[in-house]
Amino acid sequence: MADAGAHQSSRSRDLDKLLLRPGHLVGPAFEPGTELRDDIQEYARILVVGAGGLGCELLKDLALSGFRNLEVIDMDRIEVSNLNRQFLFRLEDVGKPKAEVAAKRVMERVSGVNIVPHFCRIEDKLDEFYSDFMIIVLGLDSIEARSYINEVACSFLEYDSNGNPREETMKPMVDGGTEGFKGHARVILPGITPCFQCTIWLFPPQVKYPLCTLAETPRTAPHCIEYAHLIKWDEVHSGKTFDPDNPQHMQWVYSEALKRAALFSIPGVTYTLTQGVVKNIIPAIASTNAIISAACALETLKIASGCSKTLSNYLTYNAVEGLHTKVTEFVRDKECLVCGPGIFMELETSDTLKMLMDKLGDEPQLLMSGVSVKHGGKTLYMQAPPELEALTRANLSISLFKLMEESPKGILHVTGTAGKPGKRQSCSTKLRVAFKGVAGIKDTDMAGGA
Amino acid sequence: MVVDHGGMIGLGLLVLTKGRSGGQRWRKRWTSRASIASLVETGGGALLVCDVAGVREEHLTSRGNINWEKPYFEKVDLLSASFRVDSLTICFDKNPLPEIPNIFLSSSLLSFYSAFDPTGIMIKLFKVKEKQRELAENSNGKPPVKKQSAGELRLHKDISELNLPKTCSISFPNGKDDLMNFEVTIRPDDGYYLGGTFTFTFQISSIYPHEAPKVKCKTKVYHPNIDLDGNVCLNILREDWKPVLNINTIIYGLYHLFTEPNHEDPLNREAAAVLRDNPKMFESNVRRAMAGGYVGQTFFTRCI
Repeated sequence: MADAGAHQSSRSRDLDKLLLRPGHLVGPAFEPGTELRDDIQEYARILVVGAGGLGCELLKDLALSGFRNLEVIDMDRIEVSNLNRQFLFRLEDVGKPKAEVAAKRVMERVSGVNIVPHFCRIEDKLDEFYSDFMIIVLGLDSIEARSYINEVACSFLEYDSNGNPREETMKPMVDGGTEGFKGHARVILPGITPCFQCTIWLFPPQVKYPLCTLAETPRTAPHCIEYAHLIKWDEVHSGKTFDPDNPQHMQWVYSEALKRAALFSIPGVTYTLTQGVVKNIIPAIASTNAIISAACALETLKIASGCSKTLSNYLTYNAVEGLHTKVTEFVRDKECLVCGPGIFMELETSDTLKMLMDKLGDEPQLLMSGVSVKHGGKTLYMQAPPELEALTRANLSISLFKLMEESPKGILHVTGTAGKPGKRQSCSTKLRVAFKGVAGIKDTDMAGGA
Repeated sequence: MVVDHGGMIGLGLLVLTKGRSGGQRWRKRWTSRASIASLVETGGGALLVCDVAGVREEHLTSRGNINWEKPYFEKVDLLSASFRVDSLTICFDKNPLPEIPNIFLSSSLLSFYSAFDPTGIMIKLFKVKEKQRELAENSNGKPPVKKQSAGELRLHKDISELNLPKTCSISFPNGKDDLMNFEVTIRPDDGYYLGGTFTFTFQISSIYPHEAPKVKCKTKVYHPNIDLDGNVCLNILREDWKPVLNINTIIYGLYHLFTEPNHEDPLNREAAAVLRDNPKMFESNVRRAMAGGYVGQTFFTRCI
């Protein structure tokens, strides 16, 4: 188009209706105007985790919603079987990293958008990487990966001394998920709405067949496949771990499953079913991905701009029989070890681990005894078993400040028995520890210090 | 807090009710003015009503032992409305989580009013970014503390509460800081396997206890429910795993396999058949395997 300005305004025309005009359904901080629109374009950095069925849709939707600074992370390469729904990929892309191709394709189509791809595992990135984004949008298919991102995002969350979440430390997440005709979209505002861990029980347990059924009395095709996968593999490849992403491994399991099925005259073993059972894959429906991604992208825009109230907080979509969709307001687990505030304690830098444990016994909210303590990856003290008790006993007389690498503050996890007499029970909680004299504001009065 | 006027249409009033005991949770509900009286009757306790269309209506009824103080509403714009009840102040304003005397702030109330309008929280994201920079600088370049997965935290609790029988012991080959991989050794003091030593490896997932531990028997054993590759047929490890179970339960389950091997869930079919048809022979096979020797074509290393 000849006139760049006109082009720009026509491109954001629909968005402008949301962002330039006031309304009575908007968020409290909503300040409509071109500045907001331009700020979103210029400053809002969004991370899309996963460049698969949901990820492709999300990148496209976010790019067309006015976000210009996107990054995408995915460790997978494109497979032929992705092409039916992961619409950014072409046959000639098979074998290339999903993140890179997805980023390139969206940038080709939507001018002005910059998408940085990261072809790696989510665990390969430092926390600072995740900290840099305004919102993290998840298009994942595993509980583990969601759990990991949730733990990272919630680790940024800080609480003030009254146990209220500090808004500036919140890292919002928008999570989408699909399984065939079903899907969900949710908004996680750590400290405000339930985090992934608060509601992990929402995920049904994986189907696990008894091993002896697989070994002795298989009745279904999945039994034959799981036999090949869990029992036969070990028998033949002793010591070698099965890699579900290795096509040769999968082919081997498939052929063994076929033999097994023939032996017991069980029909129905196919390569696709083998992949499905072993990798827990349910056939994806492109339109479900599109619907869920659209909801997620819109929530992302709402969080970033305040142009409308956000989804509160869990949308389920089920099109298996007819169509049913519902928004449920789940509540936080107040004692969640991942997003909860835990208990705040102020300590002297000279306080030993033992002194902290004694204090927990006096702490009115806890009255905890038989305490075991963990700090990050370090086990500081264990009551049991005897082996670990002996290995950690020496820490009891060391100052906690030292054990925590002289950080002015930090997080501990403690478990023990807590509560009033007669109501004592096993308890696990987070402790937010700050050391007097070194924590926060540089205090000139060092009397409370070491 | 901005209350969505759209949500009000046909409903009329936002009502907060609380049970008489004061210990019960706040409940919010939308209702018409006409039905307020019945709420008061049925709900007992305390009732707080606001007409969110403009805070014109102020209404409060108290029953039970909560001492409400008036006025509870100031006539201000909804965006910064606040009301006071004893020393508890709830602010419906742009500042999402005001300082609240925490003694009175039952967490259920907090979750009520924060869950009520999450958009109230999501503001000033651009400012947030500056704040994050600042926080990062404040960390003084200290190496980041390794984060703990929820699975590790729960496992920490499980391990610290282990209460094993004398016949079982646990060890951590990777040291005290890796609890996610460990070994359990069982020395049965009764039954066919008396005198043997059997070691199991445990691998715990980062989403434990959503997912059961992966357990394998490292010691080659002649056993109807454990195959020669170390797979174990124990219901709570697979189909009957529940997140309320723990490591202690599994260890007891494994121990039980040695005192009560059963031929009904066979993983080693030959061993199961012998146990079923000829327990005497089963016993001598077990002794031979544990002493180090052949049972049929299979060689077992000594584990006594």
